[in-house]
Amino acid sequence: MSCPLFEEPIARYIGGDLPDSEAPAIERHIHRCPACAAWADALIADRQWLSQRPPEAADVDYAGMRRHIREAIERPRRIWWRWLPVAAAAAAAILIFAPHRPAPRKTLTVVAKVAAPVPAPAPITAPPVAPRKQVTPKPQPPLTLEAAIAMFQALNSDPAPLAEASGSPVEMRITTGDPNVTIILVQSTNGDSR
Amino acid sequence: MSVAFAAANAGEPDRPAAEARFLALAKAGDLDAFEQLVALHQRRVFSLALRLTGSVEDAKDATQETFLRLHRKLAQIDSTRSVGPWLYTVALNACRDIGRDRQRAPSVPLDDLAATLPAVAPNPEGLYADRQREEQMRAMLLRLPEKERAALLLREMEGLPTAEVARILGSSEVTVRSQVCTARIKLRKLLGRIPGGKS
Repeated sequence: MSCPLFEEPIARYIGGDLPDSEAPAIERHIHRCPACAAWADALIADRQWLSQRPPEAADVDYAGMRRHIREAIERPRRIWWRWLPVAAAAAAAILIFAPHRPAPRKTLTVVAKVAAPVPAPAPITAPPVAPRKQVTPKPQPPLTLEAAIAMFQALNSDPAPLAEASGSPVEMRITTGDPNVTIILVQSTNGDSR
Repeated sequence: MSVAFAAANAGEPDRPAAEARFLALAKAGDLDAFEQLVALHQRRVFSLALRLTGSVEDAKDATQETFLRLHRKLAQIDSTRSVGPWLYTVALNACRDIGRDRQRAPSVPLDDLAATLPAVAPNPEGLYADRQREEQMRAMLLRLPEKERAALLLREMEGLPTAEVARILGSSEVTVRSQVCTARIKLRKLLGRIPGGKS
């Protein structure tokens, strides 16, 4: 059993980690103390053993290991190249055999996502509201151009009230039987009409 | 690339120059040169991994992973410096990852573990005895804390200076000296408790 006080300094001395100033004292102690000398010898033997390669390192198939490494590096490339002809053939087949037709209209799908079940809200009681009456406009006969001009002339006979009331030109839109033709009659504030 | 292959097998007369050449070629995409770079370092990396993990299979996996990471990071490697310390850093991490994955940290009490280990044969020069002693050494190394084990192996096995070990482990030199010394003492005491082990 080595001297407890000298265990660590001897371990540092063996590894060359002891300051030069402390080394002579340790050397003197090792020469005097057989237990510490044995401790030092064992530490030196451990160092020598560790500095050697493990025996198994001689038996390993290093070439095989390199082959595995190389295969692992090349694997992504190989996969890509392997599928390239297949992808090219598939693309050609689509171009040749696929019927030419307009692209289908995109359909929107509405996906409702519910994060968590929401508790049903308490029913709200409100006074009954009478349903609004559906007002359907009466179909009017198409206005003829002559009738429209007559109406405009009747308005134009006394422009002051209209111009004063609005402060801006009065505009009259007459829809005809043709949906593409709309007659617009404008009465300006100074009474001119176009 | 036959030129690179020939250089790698010519007894490594100028290892740093060969390494620099292989590294430059590998960076340019030459896979043969990369393979020669692996050949230059794989024994050291495997041996370190073997003593770090205590298992041949794990050491193989760690070695392979180390060089695959090297290939992925080739562009970031400084061509003016040896790739060795970088490899040791990556190998340490790979061994740590493997150990974490397999949870190999021994939880067997030392006395039970020692009872299962074969005693050193009377003839210590024989191959069998060497293997037994190596098994004992590795089993005891696994009893050390990870950082102490790594510091000890990088110093004693790879012969790296304290400053380099500190850089690899991300520690100070003072810490590394302390870790190495503590690991030396612990390892010796652990080995001394094995029946038939050197004490």
